[in-house]
Amino acid sequence: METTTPDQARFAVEARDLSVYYGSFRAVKDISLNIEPQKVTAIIGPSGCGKSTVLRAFNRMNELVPTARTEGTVHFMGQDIYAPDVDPVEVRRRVGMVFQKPNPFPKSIYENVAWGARLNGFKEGLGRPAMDEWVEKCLRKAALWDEVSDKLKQSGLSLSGGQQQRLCIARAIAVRPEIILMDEPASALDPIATLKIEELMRELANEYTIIVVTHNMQQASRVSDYTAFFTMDSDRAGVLVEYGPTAQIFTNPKDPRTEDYITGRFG
Amino acid sequence: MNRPGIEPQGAPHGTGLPPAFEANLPARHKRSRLGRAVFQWSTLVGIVYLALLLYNISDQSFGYAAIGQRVDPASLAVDGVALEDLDQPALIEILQANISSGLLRQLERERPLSEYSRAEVYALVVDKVVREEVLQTWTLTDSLLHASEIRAQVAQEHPQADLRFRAWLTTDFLSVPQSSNPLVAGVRTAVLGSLWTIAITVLVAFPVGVGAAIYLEEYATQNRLNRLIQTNINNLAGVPSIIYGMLGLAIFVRALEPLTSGAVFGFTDPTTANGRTIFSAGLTLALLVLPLIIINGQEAIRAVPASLRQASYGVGATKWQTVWHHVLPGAMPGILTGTILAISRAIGETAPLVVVGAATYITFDPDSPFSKFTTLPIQIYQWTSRPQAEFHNLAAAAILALLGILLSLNALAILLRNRFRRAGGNS
Repeated sequence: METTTPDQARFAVEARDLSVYYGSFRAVKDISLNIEPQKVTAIIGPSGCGKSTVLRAFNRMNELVPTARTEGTVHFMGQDIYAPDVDPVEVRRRVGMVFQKPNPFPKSIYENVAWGARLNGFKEGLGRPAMDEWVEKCLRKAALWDEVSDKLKQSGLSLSGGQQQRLCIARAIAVRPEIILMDEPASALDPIATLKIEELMRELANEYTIIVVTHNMQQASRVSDYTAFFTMDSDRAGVLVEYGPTAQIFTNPKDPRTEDYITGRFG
Repeated sequence: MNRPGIEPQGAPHGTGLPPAFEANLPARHKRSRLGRAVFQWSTLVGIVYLALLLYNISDQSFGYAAIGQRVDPASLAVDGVALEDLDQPALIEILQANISSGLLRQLERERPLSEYSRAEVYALVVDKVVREEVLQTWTLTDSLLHASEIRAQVAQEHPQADLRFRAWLTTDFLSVPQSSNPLVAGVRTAVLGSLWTIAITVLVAFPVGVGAAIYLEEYATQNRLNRLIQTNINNLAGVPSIIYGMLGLAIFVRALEPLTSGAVFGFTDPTTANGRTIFSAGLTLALLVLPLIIINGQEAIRAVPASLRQASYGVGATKWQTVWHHVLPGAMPGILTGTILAISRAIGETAPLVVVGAATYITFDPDSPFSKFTTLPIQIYQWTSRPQAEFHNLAAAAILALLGILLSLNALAILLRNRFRRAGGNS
C-alpha cells in the first residue's frame, strides 16, 4: 500500500467483477466500477440492491460480518486491497467512512477527533499543542468548529443529529484518508442539516474522493459529479445498471430501468 | 360514538366505527388493570417476605437476657476490698485458687501468670471464676410486649440473675473473636475470613471471567466447539455449589497443596493448614461465580451497539483497540452488575467452604491468604446448629453483620458502575 502513489493509477477505486456473498446468498453480482478521484460519486438504487454492501467492500468493512465473502478485485490507487499482504486496518485508515446513523464515540468532542489520529500514530510536531491544532483544523474542515469551539470537553453525544454527523466527518478526516465513503449520511437528518452535509461534501471533494450512497435522488443530482444506478436482478442480487456523469444519468439515461427509477415509476 | 362532526371532510371510509372495535376496549382496559394488580401483588409478596426476614433476624438480635453468675463477685472480696479494686497479685491468687490445674497450666504455658497485666488477670477472673452465663433469652417482640411478665418470671426462677436488655449485635461483637462463652463471642475472625476470601474470589474471577467473555463474544468464531463451550458455561451456572466444593477440595486443597498452603512461597505456618487455606477457598468460590461473571459479561458486551464498533474500525482501529477503548468501557456497567451478583452469591456460600475445609472454631485473625480461616456463613451455620438459645441470638446478629457487609460491598460496586455510566457520556 505504501509504495503506490495516486499518480500510478488513473482512478481512485477500480472494482472488477466484484461479488459479495453473505453465506450462500449473493448480495451483489459482478460489479465493475471506476471511481474518479476528487469527485463526488453517488450510488443510487432501490432498497436491498446492495449499494451499502458495495460501499463497504471498498474499505473491507464487510469482513466484520462473519459470513461475508468477497470475490473479484478492488484496486485502491492501483493496489489490490484484497491482496493477502494488505492489512485491512490500514485500508480503513486510508478509506474513511461516515455511517447512516450518526455514531460519535461516547467521549468528548475533542476526543472523538483526536482518538483516531492518536491511534494511527499522529506525529505532527510533538505533544498536545499540535494535536489541538489538528483537532481544530479537522473540525473547521467539517464546518463544525464555530459551533463547538467553546465546548470541546462536552460529550459528542450532546450535539444535535446534524452536528453529530459533521463530528463523524471530522473524525473521519482526522486520520487523513484519501477516500471518504458515506453511507446515506443525511438520511437521519432534517432538511437543513442535510443541506449543510451536502455543502460540506462539495467542499470536501476538493481534497478527497467521495463516494456516497443515497436514497434521495435530488441529493444525488445536487451533490454528485458521477452517478451509479444499482438494481436487483431476478435472483435478488444487486447489479450495476448504469454509471456515468450525473447530468447524463438524470437527463438522458440509456437504460430504461434507470429511467423508470428516476422518474419514479419504480423503486 | 357515532359523531360525523369529527370525521375529516370527504373521508373515504364510512362514518362510525364498526361496533366490534368499540366493544372490546373496556375488556382490554380491564385486562390491563388485572395485569397491573397481579404485578403489584407479586411485588407486595416480595416486600412482605423481605420484611419478615428482617423482622425475624432483628427479633433474635435484640432482647432481654437473664444473666447469672456461677460465683458471686462479692464472695471473692478479700479483706473487704471489692473484686474490681484488688491488685494483680491478689487476683492471681484468686485465679489459682478457683480454676482447674489443667487450665492453669495452659495459661502458664503461654506466659507466666506474673507477666500478665492487672487488667488481663481481672478479665480472666471475671471470665473463668465469676463466669457470667446466659440463663435464658427473649426475643425483641416479647421483650417489648411482655416486659413485666419476663421480670416476674426471672424473679421467680432465677432470683440471683441479672435481667438485662441486650443487643447481641454490638461493636464489641464485630471486634472480638469467636468464643465458647456467648457473652463474649464475636465475629471478628469470620468477618476477616469472609473479606479475605471475597477479595481473592473477585481478584481471580473478575479478570478471568471478563477475559473469557471478551474472547467468546469478540474473537471466537461460531463453530461446534465454541457452541459446546457456551452451552456448558450456561449449564455450569446451575451446578450445585457443593460440587464446586468437591472440585476445590480435589484440585486446590489436595493436588495444588504446595501452592495453596503457601509452601512454595516459603510460608511455613506452625499451625499448618495443609491447603485448607483462604487461598483455596477464594479459588473455589471464584470457580463457582465464574459462569455468572462470564454470562453477564457476554450479555453486556453484546449490548454494545455495532455502530460503535464500526465507527472504531472505520478510523483504522485494530480489534484490540476497539475492544479496549470502546467495547469494554461500554460494557463495564453491565459487567459490574454481574460482578455484584457474583459477590452476593459468593459471600453467602457455605457448603463448598465446609467441603474445602473451613475451620469452624478459630480465634486468631487470618493474616495472609495461606491462613486457616472461617467465614461468616460458616460461623452462622455453626451457631444455629447449637442447642442453646443464646447462640441462636448470636447467629442472628451475625446474619445482620453479613447483610451489612454484603450491602457495603454492593454499594461500592454500584458506585463504581455509576462512575462508568457517567464516564460513558463525557470523558
